[in-house]
Amino acid sequence: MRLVFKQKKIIFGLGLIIIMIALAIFAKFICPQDPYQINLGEHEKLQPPSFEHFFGTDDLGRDVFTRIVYGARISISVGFIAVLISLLIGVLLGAVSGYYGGKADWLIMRLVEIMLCIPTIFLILMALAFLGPSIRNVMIIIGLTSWAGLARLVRAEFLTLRERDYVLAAKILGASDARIIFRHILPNALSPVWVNATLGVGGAILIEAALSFLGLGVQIPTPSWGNILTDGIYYVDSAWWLMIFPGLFILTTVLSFNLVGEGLRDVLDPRLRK
Amino acid sequence: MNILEVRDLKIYFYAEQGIVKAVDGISFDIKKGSTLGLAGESGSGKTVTALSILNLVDPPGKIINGQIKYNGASLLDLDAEKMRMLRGKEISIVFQEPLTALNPVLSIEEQMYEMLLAHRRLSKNGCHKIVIEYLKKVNIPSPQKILKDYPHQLSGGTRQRVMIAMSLLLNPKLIILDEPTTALDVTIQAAILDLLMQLKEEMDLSILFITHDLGIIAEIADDVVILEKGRVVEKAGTLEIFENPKNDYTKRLLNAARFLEVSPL
Repeated sequence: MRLVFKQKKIIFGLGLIIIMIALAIFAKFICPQDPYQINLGEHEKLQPPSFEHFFGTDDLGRDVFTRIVYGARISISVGFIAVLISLLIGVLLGAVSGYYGGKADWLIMRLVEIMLCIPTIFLILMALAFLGPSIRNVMIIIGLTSWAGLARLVRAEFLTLRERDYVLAAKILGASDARIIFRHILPNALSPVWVNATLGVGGAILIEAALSFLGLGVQIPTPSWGNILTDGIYYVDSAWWLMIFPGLFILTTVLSFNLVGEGLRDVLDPRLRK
Repeated sequence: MNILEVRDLKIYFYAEQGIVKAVDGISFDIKKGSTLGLAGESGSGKTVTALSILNLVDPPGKIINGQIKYNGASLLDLDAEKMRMLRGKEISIVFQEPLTALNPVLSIEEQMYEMLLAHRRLSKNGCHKIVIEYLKKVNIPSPQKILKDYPHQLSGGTRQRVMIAMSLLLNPKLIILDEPTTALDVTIQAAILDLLMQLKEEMDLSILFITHDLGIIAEIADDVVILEKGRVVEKAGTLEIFENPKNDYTKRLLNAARFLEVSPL
């Protein structure tokens, strides 16, 4: 645990993540303005950054800073919930596959291969086209399409861990399969899972931004980092602040999740320690 | 009265290179309240025999013939759930290497609770009492202190004591000891053996003691079965084996042991 906080990457990344989460939670107090407040006055729309509007205003006169801060709510919760769903599926299927082996393993691994050989973004686009774009659907679909790698990882861990003596000892002392899987093996298999999940949050935020940018994710007027970017696309040459600021926020957030993930990997895998 | 009867047990391993006959038709009995020593060199089938009693032989290994009767009931015919209830409660096993047999990420307390909860509905407090009682039984001086410890924080002897306490938690009638002292040094080995003999009296246990150390057999076993390459080569009372070995292989084993005993420094 002490090692975790010695890692500069982790401290830096975690710090940024905490700031982002604080922004998302306390959005109301940080930005007293209404993110949906349209103001079409000639001196209100497409204003460059100033003290009144830190990040300027968009074509409908809405305050960009306010919209980005509220957008953090959407982007970060999509990231976490999508990863939570993929964790649930990936860990469960991986555990069953690795622990029992045999036919269950064969079936699950073929499923994983099918998932992995279709490009994720097309799968997501297709699913969203069927189900209709909404925040909830985006979370669920990103979660449902990103568990395959995790399942493989967990399976590999289980394959080696199930041969350990303490697993045999637990069996001998009469523990049930469920107890052995969740209580005896899973805690030993978690370190690569944490790394993967942390990196996954960054990935999910990126996918959400891409989907919203394409108009298939979070729908306007609800602000998300992706669709703020889309709004800016028509003013690329005149109002740079519309694209730069949401872009920077996406970049920093994904970067900080990746930093934490990498830092965790360095700590948890002693072979990578210098 | 026999607590365990093994008849014509055959366990084969189906490897790609062919069939390995790990256990090839062995039979033995354990009398209630007695200690049976199962001796033989590495690879003679001792551990597989032990595992087969609890039906824990995993593929590619397979029990292809024989009968194992516990208190008159056939163990090989039990369904999975009944077998699970029997494990730990009626028959339990202690392994050679306590460090690998204890889970590195669970504290001693958590592992022992797990074991109890697998069989009984108990409150945390109830678990705590029983665990402390059994840790005292195996002569751990201040059991409260080690409860929150993880296996790597304990010494080898203490770890093995914890393993023994754990295997006794549910008051089994038969306990299988698979080279429980091999990983320990000699003084601790002696202490553990004394402890086992004392517990055996106290808890009315029957013991199957697996080892390659004939010295230990001489000390604690009532009867001895000598295995070689999956077959029983000799089966007799301990005194008889040591005074009057009939089989060639047994004689050679004994000679090897004697040679070590008298060799001067």
